[in-house]
Amino acid sequence: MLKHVFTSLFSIVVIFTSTAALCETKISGFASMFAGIASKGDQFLADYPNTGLYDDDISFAPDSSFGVQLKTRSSDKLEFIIQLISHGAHEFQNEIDWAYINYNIDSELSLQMGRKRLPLYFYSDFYDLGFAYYWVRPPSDNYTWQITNYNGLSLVYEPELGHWDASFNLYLGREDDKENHLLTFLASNTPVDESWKNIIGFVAELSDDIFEYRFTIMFSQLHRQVGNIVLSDDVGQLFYGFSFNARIDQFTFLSELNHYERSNDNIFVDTSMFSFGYKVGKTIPHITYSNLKQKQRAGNGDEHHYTVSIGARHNLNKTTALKMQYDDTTDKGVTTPVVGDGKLLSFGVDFIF
Amino acid sequence: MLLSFFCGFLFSASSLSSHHFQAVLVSAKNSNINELDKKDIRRLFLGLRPIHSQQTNIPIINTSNPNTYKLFLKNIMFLTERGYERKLIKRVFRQGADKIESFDSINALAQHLKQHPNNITFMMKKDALSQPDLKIIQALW
Repeated sequence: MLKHVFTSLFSIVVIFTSTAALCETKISGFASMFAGIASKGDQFLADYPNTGLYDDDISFAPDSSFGVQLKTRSSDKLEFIIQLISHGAHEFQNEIDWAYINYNIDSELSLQMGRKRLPLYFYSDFYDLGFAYYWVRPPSDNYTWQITNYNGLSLVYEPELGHWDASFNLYLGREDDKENHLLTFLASNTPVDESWKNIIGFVAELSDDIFEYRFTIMFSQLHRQVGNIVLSDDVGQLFYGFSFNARIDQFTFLSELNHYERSNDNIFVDTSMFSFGYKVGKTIPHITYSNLKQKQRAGNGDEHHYTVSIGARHNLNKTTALKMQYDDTTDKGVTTPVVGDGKLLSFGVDFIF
Repeated sequence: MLLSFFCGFLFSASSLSSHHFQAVLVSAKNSNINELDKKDIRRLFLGLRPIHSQQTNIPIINTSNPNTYKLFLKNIMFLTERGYERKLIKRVFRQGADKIESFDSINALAQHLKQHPNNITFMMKKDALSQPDLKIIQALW
């Protein structure tokens, strides 16, 4: 495990320090180290996109990850940003989450080209940055998407709106994922290749000190192949969602409502999440309900699962947080169960540097 | 005489209080940073690019006095400490913004500014006046 981490760190540092003489380079990073044990059911799928799977023996890999971010600036207008991550769920293989060139068109507008996180859900583009939220991981029933990145273009507009911070992001791209982790796992290890083509999406965010609003919409074409069989060939898919968060004094309220549809395949899925937290000193106990429900269709396809989570985050200092969480998942799917009912106890530490 | 003594006392008391409670934006004495729009100061300390200013200034967070830091966040950033730190973390790891350095010692901060003429920070006026290597760019509140 550590060998992979150090190899990746070393490779990046070598690449960037070789350019450091010409450009200003900044390094930052994050790590999550968690342990967990499923107390009901043979398996507990805690992290869908990374296929972080616990069983009834204590495991240390499913929610653990290390990330390094490097940014090098060649001028006021031009920057190169790379984020490399090693997930325990992927045996700490090195993966590139971000690798893009950022061009500052003016003070409020920037254009990015390269590889980025696909910003579908509220936490999608900082899903691996555990320090930024109070759970061990964002609620699993909401975060079931199998494509997490895209290669393409992204236009970001961040205007001046008084006390409010606003961001509008239009993006275009494509992602081809050979042997997709999640789908291959769900297909009993039959390799599943997934492509999302002609991705076009838009995200609008508005926040002040108390409130956060986010709207997201994405359209793309899906190509899916299981083994040698093409299941979906350029089928249109639509995703949209809305998030609202409020932090008033010691209270925190977080919410997300999302909808996914592939109407040609008669697939319609709704997900929702509601969470309450209350800050007591440096500790935030929280409770969360998350739900995924697929509209039942003829033949098969009735994925339906929900989770109640209780947990606490304790801030040791400005860069380190301890977390503990108990999840109780009910899997109501009959023809499309995921891994069945399950309970999970997980605990660990998130830090940033 | 009593009246002039009383007026003099009032003057020095108000002068003392304005120095004690006035905060300023500072940089190294040898920097050529000009006054900034307060909206641009807010954008800089959020890791955004300024709109009204063409200068490329690097913000430094001064945490040497927790009250000054909280007042800065309230008066200039319109944020609480919790909200500000949440926004900064997201900006660094979502948008690739530069991490903003912070100092909890005025002397170390002054030393850093002296070596980095394009860096700016905030502090109480009385602290700025006690640092010979710093210059006051503008009053913040």
